[in-house]
Amino acid sequence: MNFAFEDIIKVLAGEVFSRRNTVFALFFIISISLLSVGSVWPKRYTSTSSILADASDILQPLMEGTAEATRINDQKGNAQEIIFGEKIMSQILEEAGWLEDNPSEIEKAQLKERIENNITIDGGKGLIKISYRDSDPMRAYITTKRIAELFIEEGENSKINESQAAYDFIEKQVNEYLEKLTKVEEQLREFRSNNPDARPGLETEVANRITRLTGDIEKTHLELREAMIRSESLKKQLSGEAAITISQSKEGQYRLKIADLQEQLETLRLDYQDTYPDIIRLKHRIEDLKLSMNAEIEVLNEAKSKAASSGGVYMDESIVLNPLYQKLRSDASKSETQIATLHARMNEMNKMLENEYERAKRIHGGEASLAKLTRNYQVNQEIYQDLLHRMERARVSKNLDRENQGLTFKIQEPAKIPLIPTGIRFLHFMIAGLILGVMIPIGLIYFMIQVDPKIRFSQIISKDLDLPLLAEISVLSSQSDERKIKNNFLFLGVGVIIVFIIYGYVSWLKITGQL
Amino acid sequence: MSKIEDALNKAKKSRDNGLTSIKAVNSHETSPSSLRSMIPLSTDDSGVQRESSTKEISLMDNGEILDKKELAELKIIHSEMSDNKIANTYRDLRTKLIQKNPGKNFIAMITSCVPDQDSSPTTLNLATAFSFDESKTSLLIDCNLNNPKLDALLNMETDQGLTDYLEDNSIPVDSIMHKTGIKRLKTIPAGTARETATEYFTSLRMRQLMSDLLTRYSDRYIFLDTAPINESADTRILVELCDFVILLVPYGMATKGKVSAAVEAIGKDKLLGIVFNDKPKLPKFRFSNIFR
Repeated sequence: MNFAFEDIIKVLAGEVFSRRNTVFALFFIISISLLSVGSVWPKRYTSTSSILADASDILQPLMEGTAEATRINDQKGNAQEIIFGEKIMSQILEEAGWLEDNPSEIEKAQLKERIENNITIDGGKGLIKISYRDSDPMRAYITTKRIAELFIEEGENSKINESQAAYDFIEKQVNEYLEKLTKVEEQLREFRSNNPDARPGLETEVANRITRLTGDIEKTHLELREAMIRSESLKKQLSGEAAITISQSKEGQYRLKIADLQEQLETLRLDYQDTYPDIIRLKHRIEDLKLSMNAEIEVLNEAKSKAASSGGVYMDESIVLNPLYQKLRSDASKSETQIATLHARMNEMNKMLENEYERAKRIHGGEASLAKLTRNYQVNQEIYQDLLHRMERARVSKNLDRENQGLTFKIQEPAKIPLIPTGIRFLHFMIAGLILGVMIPIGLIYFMIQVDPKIRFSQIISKDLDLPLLAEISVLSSQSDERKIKNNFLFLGVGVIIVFIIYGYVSWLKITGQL
Repeated sequence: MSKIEDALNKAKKSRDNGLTSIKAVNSHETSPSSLRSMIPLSTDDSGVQRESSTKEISLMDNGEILDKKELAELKIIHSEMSDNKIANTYRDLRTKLIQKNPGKNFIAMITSCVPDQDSSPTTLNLATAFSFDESKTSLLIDCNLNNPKLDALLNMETDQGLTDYLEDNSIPVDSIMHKTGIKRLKTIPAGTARETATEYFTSLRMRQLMSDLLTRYSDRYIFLDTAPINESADTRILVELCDFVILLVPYGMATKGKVSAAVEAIGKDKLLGIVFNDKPKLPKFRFSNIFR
């Protein structure tokens, strides 16, 4: 059942009133115990230093496009990593005066952990805030100051290291690529020397040659066929032709002429006497011819005998070769020669074609290797060139860092000696003691009212149980009761005043530094 | 079996006996209304006129009257209280009771629903509120025989009371009615003899006494202060003898279950209503009061 706020307040007030002694006891215990805790609670001084940091790293722009460097997004984590590192922590321990008591290793580790717990690192956009909390303001200041300084030192070192590392890396890469490039060059040269005809465009050339050769072969083949046919037909013609014709010999010519002249003589004799000059001239002429003919026969015989004596054959002059036959014969022989030539040429060409084919095959394999080698060479060369550029840039960056030209850490806000303690301090405990001292008992009573099933609201009777409610009667107190209550209130009032006096006294002790 | 149940059983038995005896006398049911019809049965004080009037009441012997201071010390309301809020509450309650029973007097039983939480102060104050009215008298009967409180509340010592009357027939009613020091309020204390209470309440003499008291004066209002009903068999028996019951629910003491159980024990028709009492009262602070 929900009750009106007013009713709840009334009931709460009534309950608080009837349990005033308990409420006061709780108030007393809570306020005094919180005051006690507050008075011994260690003061915490926080010193803070802000560092402006440029987060851009060197490797990234240098390697842009070539390699992707891992980016450090977590600046805070990075700072923590550096500050909580063994190097800085040890130095802090030493410089902030923690090691005066010569602590053991375990104690040192504990001290470090304590310091780490008291360090707060906040990383914003390019701003790292380092806070350190300590009970001693001076120590808080020194520690914070040193942490910031050491962090920057370390950061710069790491920056230099980073650029050096970047340079080294690129240099290494350059060397590697140079080596690769040389190797590829060597391979290329070797390949070229092994494959002299490995040069670009050769394949086309070979293909052209093959085409030409094939064409030539075909042509030759045709020519050969033609020559063979001709030779055949010549041979046929030759078989039908006499090889020798007997021509008229000089003797015969003489005889013919004599006969001719005899004839003329005969004719003339018919008309003329033998004394006729022409007949006489004819007779003379015939005589001459007969003489010449005899001389000729004599020469011939002499030749014959000569030939016989020397064992040779004598060829009669009159026996002469048939000119047609001769021609045919010569043609046939020419044809034969041509055929033989063509055959030879054909063979030669086939051989050449074969060679070309062989070469083409060879070129085909070689060209692939060549392309690969060339490509390798080109790629390596490109990267090498690029890396060379980058190396130069890295060298500049490195030098820049080395000479602190590219300083990326700067103390934005130096550590200060904290004057006012931070965190929960005495004043807070005082206030909390008084407030909680009041709130806790009232809260407990409120809780009790909510939880306790006993009837405290008349509405439960009239509405929940639906019973007729005749009256609500308060407790009637006698005068002596009232007196008692008054005395009780006086007692409680004195108690509250005592609490305040204690508060005031402890505060005074605190302010004057006696506590 | 608990003691209470034992007592209840006994009570039932003896009530049956009582009933038969009443039936023998008058064949009416034993109810408050029937008590009224038993007027002729009254034996004592037959000569006293029944007619009541303010005048007559004013002649009533109230004995030594307690002054305001004494009343305040006894935590009894009076008409001139500095903080009359509570007195007015009782007055309102009185008005409500009269309105609910118009034109006649009644026997009202007041009981609490929480053990160990006695109803006596409230009952006493309610009776006192009735006695504020000069035309009314009130009679307070302490029926909490095991743990009577009225004497202590009124700061008086009485020799004879209800049990003595019920036990000894020779004792007249007048001798057990005591002056309280409050005008128009008389009381019958529990008495000295205390045996099994149930037997007393179921007796015919008890019934006769009740009817007698109720009917003698029509302006007399009778209040029975009883033990908490949830633990007392007497109280349950007394429910039958009264006109109605007022159930006290003390602040922060009773659960709903206890209230329901008490209502169950009383019976819806007898229950007139609930009084939510013992509410804590914040003292009114006046700075000057602190150091007075």
